Amino acid sequence: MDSTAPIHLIAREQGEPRVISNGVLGMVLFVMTEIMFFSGMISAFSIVRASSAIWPPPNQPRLPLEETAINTVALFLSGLLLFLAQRRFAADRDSAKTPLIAAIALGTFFVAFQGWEWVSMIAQGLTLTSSTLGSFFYLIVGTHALHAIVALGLLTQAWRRLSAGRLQPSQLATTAVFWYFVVGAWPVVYWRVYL
Amino acid sequence: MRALGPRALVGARVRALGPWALVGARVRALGPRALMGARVRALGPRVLVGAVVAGVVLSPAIASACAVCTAGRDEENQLAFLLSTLGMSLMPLIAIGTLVFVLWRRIQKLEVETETARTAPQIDSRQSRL
Repeated sequence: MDSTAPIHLIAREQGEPRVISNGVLGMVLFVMTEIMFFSGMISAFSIVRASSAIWPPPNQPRLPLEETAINTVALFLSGLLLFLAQRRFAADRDSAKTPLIAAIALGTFFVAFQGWEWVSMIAQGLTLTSSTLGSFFYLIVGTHALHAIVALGLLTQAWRRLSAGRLQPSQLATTAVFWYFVVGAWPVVYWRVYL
Repeated sequence: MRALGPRALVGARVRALGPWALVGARVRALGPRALMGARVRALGPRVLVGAVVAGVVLSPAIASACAVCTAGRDEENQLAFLLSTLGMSLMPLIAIGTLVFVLWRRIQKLEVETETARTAPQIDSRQSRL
């Protein structure tokens, strides 16, 4: 192919040629900024932990590793179901409803379970001001939970549009990018904060 | 005149030049490069880059000025600082590089698809004539 020939784009969205949809590109750029945001927080946590003479701080409850591992599996399943929903959406839009609602349900379970863990840890004495562990734990995990809640809201909106027959592929893709970020960021948070 | 303030003391042409009015016309034409000699200007930006690189390489003690790298309490602390700095520095490069790579692959794929779509009807019409 002649390298000077113009690029002829097949992918069209609302009549305009696109290599990548505006929504997906915008969401990817936003996710990049959020990745840097999380990197900064996790870096600060790593340095504070390395600087501490005693870690974890004394008189603080142990973080629930096993329960959170189960929760992590639920989140991964949610990501897989969303991927399945996207694949089905490309073939037959109505068949995507079930995996999409299942992904939302698992995501909601993840957030709710995290909230329940927080309540029990606060009752045991790990609070935002009890120690540096508590401060960073609630900051980092709380920020992730906030992202998860917003992403679940977007997924729910996508499901409503799908039910009404008005969901565009790019809209589902844009929402999916954000949820994949939430799912992908969690193992890093779990590894650096919990382990 | 009062509205201009002290600038009323100079003519309109000089006011239009701004701070550059303090230097001669030849120097103005050179711009910031006027700060270097003619030989250095002839070599271009390579001189500046070479000078900076040489300064850094020949003076490793400069790195000791970094309070983050050298003020760690112990080895574990220093390692945490260095790994964090390395990670944070590489993260945007990896992220943007990945995006650019994915977009480039997608454009390549679309070009192939376009070419296929353009030649396919021609093949079909030729076959129907046979």
